[in-house]
Amino acid sequence: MRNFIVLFKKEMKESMRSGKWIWLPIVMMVIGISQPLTSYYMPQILEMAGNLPEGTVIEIPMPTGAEVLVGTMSQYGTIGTLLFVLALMNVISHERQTGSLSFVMVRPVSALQYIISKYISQLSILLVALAASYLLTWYYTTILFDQVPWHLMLASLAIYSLWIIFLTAVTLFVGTLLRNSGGIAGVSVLFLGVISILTTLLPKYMEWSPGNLRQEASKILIEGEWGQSASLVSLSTLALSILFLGLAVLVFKKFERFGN
Amino acid sequence: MDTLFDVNWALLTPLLVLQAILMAFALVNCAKQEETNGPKWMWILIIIIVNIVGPVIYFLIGRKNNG
Amino acid sequence: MLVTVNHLSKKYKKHTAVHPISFSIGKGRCIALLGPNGAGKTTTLQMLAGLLAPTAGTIAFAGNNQKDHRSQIGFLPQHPSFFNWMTAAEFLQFAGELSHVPKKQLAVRMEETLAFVRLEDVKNKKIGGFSGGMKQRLGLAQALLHEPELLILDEPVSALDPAGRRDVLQLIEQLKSKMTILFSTHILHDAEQVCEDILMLKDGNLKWNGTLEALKKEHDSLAIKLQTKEPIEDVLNELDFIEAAEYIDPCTVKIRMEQHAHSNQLVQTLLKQGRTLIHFELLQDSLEDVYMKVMER
Repeated sequence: MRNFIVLFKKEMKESMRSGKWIWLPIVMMVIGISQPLTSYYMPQILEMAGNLPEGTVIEIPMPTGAEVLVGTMSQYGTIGTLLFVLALMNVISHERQTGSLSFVMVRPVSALQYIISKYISQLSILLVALAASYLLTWYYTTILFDQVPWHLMLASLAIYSLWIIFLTAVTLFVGTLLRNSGGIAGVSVLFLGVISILTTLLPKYMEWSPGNLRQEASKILIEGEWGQSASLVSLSTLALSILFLGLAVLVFKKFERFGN
Repeated sequence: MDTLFDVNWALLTPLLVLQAILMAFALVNCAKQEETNGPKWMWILIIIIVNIVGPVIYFLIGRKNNG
Repeated sequence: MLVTVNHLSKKYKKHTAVHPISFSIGKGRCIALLGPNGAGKTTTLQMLAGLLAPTAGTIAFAGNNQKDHRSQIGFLPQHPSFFNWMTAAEFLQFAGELSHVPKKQLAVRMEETLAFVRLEDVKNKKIGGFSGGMKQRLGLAQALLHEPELLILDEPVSALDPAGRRDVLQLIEQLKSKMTILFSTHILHDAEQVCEDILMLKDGNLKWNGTLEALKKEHDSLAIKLQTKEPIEDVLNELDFIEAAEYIDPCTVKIRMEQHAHSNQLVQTLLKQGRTLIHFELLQDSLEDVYMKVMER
């Protein structure tokens, strides 16, 4: 436990100094509020972009606040996921490649302490970035469209956060398997993409899939209720995340060599 | 030109401010960096020219020592 | 004995880096692990430090039955790579906390070690801006910080310039009284300067395991170079204490014999037989020669 705290503090300090704590939330906020802004200004944007004949009247139904938030979720699901995986790809491989990992592992540190400290610290950055972005976006939708009740907003945020929990576990696990950052990002994104696609293609067999999380979050926003399926997906996502973390610890233990 | 004046700046300003902070933060970080992956001036250009994506790419792969 | 290593070996898919080797490390000794590049020195040290899993064999520490003895070891890697965003003091703080040095003691130890490696002035500077020599000294500081029983240094001076080299060797010299030190080097002179025990490794095999003195003695048979005016082969053939003779020309010869004591007898015999002695020289084997001999064995 003591080593976990020491390692966790070091991770936090490192993310602070490297600026991750600043740039990641800012970029997420930009991604988030772009959605309500573009939805709101869509008529003007179309007018400016397309050379429409004089006098054309553009009629686009004003979306509801909930619909805008669903759109934001979809941005998170694509660009956000990619961004997060890229932000995580170096987390273990960098210390392995440079050899600074050997300064850690030459002391009485266990694989579990190491992996969990990485996981919790990185996860907290990502979740803070996500929450900051989502709250700001919610504020924008409230001003521009109509207000989504705050408890629905929080419930949808909570369920979507599970996707981040899963994504972080997967990327860390891949990070123990491979040494090359690009490879780690590629394999993780591919894996997460395949899961999402399979979930849409084979809904019957994939009820447990973390790929359903976004839909569940949307359902909460639009229909205003937390269904039974949401609970199932949440539980299976948590279980899968723990499984991937366990695998990461096992693979890490099997490293023949720390550093170079 | 009318459309531009319809824009509610109170709504857009935060977005522009966020982008400006991101760019400034990336530029300062890049300037302080002892070594970058590739020439520093190239990164400065990327950060300035490519909105949002430029700074992000810089933070992800531009630096040598801290990931 | 502090550490007993038994049939330790490391095999990779294609080649064997270390063949089963056994040796022990006495408490308080200073041991050099000598060998050419690629002999398996780093592999051996990393296994001892717990950074590399051995293929077979055991490493036992006195008074510790657990498998994990990392808390008793201080290790300096061959190419130390730090967290460059940390300052020297932050790094030592981090390292000390991971080794469970109590808070108050850690503050004292940090002061001591930073002073010892002479980095007090730059302790709040980022490691990223350090020179190679400073990094090596910081590496030494983190290895000493928790007062380990065994200090393992992998090529601590190889990458340094002559001044940095002397610096670090002097630091090692001062540490000898406090802890057991095992360091690897491919430079004989470094080993000779500070160590009393020598382990020689070549192609993953242990070629020598013993004290520096014994090494010198065992392989340092006495050689004498002689030159006379007259041919001398007939005289030498009659002397039974001569082990080998190598004639450069009929009047000049290099001979080997068992003991120094016989050298007087040799000269006397020569004079009695009426030879005129022009040159008499005792040839001492340099440690270099001994090293080469052991390695070629």
